[in-house]
Amino acid sequence: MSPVTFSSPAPADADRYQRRADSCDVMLLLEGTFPYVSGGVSSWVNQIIRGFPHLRFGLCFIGSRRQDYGAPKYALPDNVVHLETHYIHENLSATQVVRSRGDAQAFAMMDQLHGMLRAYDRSDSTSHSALAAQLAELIPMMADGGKLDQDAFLFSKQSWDYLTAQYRTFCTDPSFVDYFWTVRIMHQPVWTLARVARQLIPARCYHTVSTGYAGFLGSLMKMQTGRPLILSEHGIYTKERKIDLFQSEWIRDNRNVFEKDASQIPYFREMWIRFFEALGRMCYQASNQIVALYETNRLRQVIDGAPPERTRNIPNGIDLPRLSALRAQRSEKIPPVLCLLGRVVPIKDVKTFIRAMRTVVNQYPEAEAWIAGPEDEDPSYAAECHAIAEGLGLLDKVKFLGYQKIDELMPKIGLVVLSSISEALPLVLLEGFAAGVPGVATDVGSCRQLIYGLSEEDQALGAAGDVVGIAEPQALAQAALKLLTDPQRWYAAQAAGIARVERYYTQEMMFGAYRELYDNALAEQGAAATGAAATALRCPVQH
Amino acid sequence: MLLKFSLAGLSFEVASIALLLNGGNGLAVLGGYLLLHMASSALFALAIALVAPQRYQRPRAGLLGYLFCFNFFIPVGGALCMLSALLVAMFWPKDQTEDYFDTAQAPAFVTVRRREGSGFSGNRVRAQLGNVATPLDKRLNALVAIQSTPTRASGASLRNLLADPADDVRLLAYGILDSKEKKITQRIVDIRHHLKTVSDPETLAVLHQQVAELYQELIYQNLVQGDLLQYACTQMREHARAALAIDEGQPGLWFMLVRLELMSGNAPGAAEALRQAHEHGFSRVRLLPYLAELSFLEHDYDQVRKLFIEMQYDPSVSSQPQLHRYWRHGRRTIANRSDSLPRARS
Repeated sequence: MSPVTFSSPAPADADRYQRRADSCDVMLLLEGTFPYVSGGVSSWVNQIIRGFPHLRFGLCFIGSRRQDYGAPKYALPDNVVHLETHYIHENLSATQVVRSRGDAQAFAMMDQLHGMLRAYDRSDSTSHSALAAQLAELIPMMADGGKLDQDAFLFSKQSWDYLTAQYRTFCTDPSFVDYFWTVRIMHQPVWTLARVARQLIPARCYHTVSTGYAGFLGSLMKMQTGRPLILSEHGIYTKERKIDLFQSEWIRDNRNVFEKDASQIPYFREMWIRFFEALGRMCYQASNQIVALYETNRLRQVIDGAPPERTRNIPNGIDLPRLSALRAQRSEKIPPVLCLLGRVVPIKDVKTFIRAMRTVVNQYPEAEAWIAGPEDEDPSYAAECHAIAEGLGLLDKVKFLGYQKIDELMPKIGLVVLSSISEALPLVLLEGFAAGVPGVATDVGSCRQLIYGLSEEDQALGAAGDVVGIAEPQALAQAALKLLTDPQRWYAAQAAGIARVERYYTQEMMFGAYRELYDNALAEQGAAATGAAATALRCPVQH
Repeated sequence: MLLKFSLAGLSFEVASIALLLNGGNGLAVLGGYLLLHMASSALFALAIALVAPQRYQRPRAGLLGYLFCFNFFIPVGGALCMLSALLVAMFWPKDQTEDYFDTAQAPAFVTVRRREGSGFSGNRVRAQLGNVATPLDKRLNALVAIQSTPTRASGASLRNLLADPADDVRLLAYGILDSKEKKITQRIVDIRHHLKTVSDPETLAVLHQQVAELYQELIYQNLVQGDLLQYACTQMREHARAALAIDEGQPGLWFMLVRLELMSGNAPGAAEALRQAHEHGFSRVRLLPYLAELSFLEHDYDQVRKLFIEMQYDPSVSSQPQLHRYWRHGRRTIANRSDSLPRARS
C-alpha cells in the first residue's frame, strides 16, 4: 500500500541478501511478499522486523517461479539472520520417471485423509484433531524414499489406480486428462513444502503473514516442532484466491451444453477452491494466535474456521513523529493535487481514478492527479491506464510519477485518493492523515472505519474525508471536489484525520500488541527441535 | 307478464287520476290517489324493467328504484319519457368500444428486450444474485453462472452488485466487468499500435474499421459509461470516418455510423449516414427500422407510421409486434389483449 517508504537495493548488493544462520527467534513465512514484492504487506513486514531489533528473524520466502521475481525490493534489516527462498511451481516438467508399485497401505491412509478433508467441518474441532493426527502420520512418509514420496505420487501404479478411482467416483467433468493434470499440479507443492519443512532451521516461534501455502508450511512446522505459530492476515487469503479462481480462464469446464447446470461451478474450479479452503482451515486450527487488522476480517476468519478465542485485531500503525513533521512543510493553500499512492495494478482500480479526473478537471481546471507507484508489476494494466488518460485528454493532468519518497510527496498534495476494489487497512490513508492530508477512499476493507471512525468516541472526532462506492468515478470526483473546493471542510477533515491517527493508529500501539504476542510465543515451553529430532512430527492437538 | 304489468299499471294510474278529478279535495282522496299512483308506478317500473336492454338490467334494485321514482314523481310524463329512452337505448346503443382520446406515453425504441437475465438461466440465478440473504456460496455460484453471459444482458446486474455488502460478490462482479472490458480495450490498444506502423491505405482502412468495431462492442456491451462512453463514441466515429475516407464504398461501416448517430441523438449525422449506406447498396429493408427511428427523432410521426407499414412484420423480433400495432393502428397496445382491429394495408 505504501510503496514509497523503501529504496530498491542495487543488484550489486545481491550478496547482502545471503543470510544464513543455524537458528532464529522468529521465522517469518512469507508467500509472494517481502522482500521480493513491494506493497502494503511487505512494508508492514519491514516495519515489524525493524520494530523488534533485539529479535533475530529468519525469512522463508515462498514464490511461484523464480523468474516471476526480480531483485529484492527492500533492503534487509540487520536483524534478519536467515533468508531462504523456495519456488513451488518450478520443476513441474517431466523428471526422470521412477517406476514403482506403490505402497497400498500408505495410499489407503491417504484415502482416509481425503475422506476427512471432504468432511472437514469447520465448526468441529475434533475433526481437525483427527485430520492433524492423520497428517502427522503421513508427512514423514512424504520424505524422499518414503512410502509416499513425490515419485510414488507421480509414477506409482497405486497412485494411478487411486487417481482413476477418485475420478470415477467424484469428478463431474468429463475430461480425465484435465483431471489428471489438475490433481498433479495442485498437489505437487505439498511435497515441496514438506521438504522445506524438514530442512528449515529451528526457530523459537513461527509467524506466517497469510494462510495458503505459507500458512500450510506454518501448520507443518507447528506439527513438526511444537513451537507456537502466529498468523497475521492482512487481506483474507482464501477469499482472494477464491475470487481469482472464479475468474480464472485457465481452469477448463469440459461439460457440454446438456451437462451444464448454470448454478453449479465447474468441478476443477471447485476442487481448487476446496484445496485452498482446506489449507486455510488447517492453518487457522494450527495457529496459537490469529491476528486480523480489523473486526470484519476477524469475523470472516471465524467463519472460515478460525477458533474465535484465538483471534484478535491489531490494526496497522504508522511512524507518527516522522510523518507529523511533514505538516510543517505544507503551504497554507490547499494544493489542487489528488494523489493515488500505490502500485499501478488492477486491484487499485487506477482506471476509475483517471476517469474520475475527467469530471474533476471539468469542474476544477487547476486540479491534477498524481499516481505515485511502480508500474512494473502489471505493465499491460499500466499501459491501459496511460491509454485511458490520453484518450480522456488528461495527459497534462494525470501524472504517472513512479516511485516517490512519501516524505517529499505528502506536503505537496491536497488529497490522498484510494480507488481500490479491495483493501484491508491501508497504511497510505493513515500516513496521509499523519502528514495532514485527508483522503477519499472506496468503501472497501476498513476504509470506512479510518475515514469516519469506528467507536462512538472515534466517530466524534469527525470525518477525515469521504467514502464512495467502488468503480464509481462520478461519485469519487464529486467527493474529491467537495473537499478540495471547500477549505473549511478540508481543514475539518485534516483535523479529524490527525486526531484519529494519533489516538488509534500509532506504530507504538501496534508494536506493543506484537511485543505481547512474541513474548508469549517465545516464552512458551515447547520442544525446540533441532537436527534429526526436527523431523519427528507431533500432532499439535491433544488427543 | 309485460302485458299484465302494463295493463294493471295503466288501470291503477287511470283510477288514481279519476279519483283525483272526481273525489273532491279531502285528505283521504289525496291519500287514495297517492296509494293508487304508487301501485301504478311500481307496476310500470316492473313492466319497463322487463324490456330494458340487458346492459341496464344490473343492478336490479337500482334499476327498479330509478324507474319507480321516475314514474312516481312525474306522473304520466315519466312513463312517456321512459318509453322514449327505451327506444333510444334499443336503437342507438352507447358506443362502448373505447375512449377515442387518451394520454399515451411516447413509445421508447427498445429494439431488444433489456430485461436483465435474458440470455442466462432465468429467474433462479437472478433471484440468488439480488437477494443478500442467500448464502454467499450460492450467490457466488450464480455470479459465475452469468460470467459467460454477454454484459449487454448481465451488465446492469453486475453493476448493482458493485455495491453489494459481501466483499466476495463485489470483487467478483467487478472482476467480471473489468476482464470483459479489458479484453476489448487490449485489442484496441494493440490495433492502434499497429496503425502507427502501417502506411498501405487498404490495411489502414481495415485497421480503422476494426478499432471502430471494437469501440462499438464496448458500447453495445454496456461496458462504458459516462465520460468514457462519450469518449468511446468519439473514437468510434473518428475511426469509422477514417476508414470511410479511404474507401467510402463500405455500406456496413455507414450502417455502423447510423447506429452510433442515432444512439447519440445526432439526427443530421444519422440522416447522412443512412443516405450513404443506402447509396452504397445497403438493403433498404434493413434500414427501415433506423429510418423510422430517425423520423421519430425528427418528430415526423406520420413518416414513422408509413415506414412501419412498409416494414415486414416479423413476430420473431420480440418487441416488433407491439411497435407494429402501435404505429400501424395508432392505438395503445395491451399485451394481454388480442388486436381485434382489421390490419391496415401492407
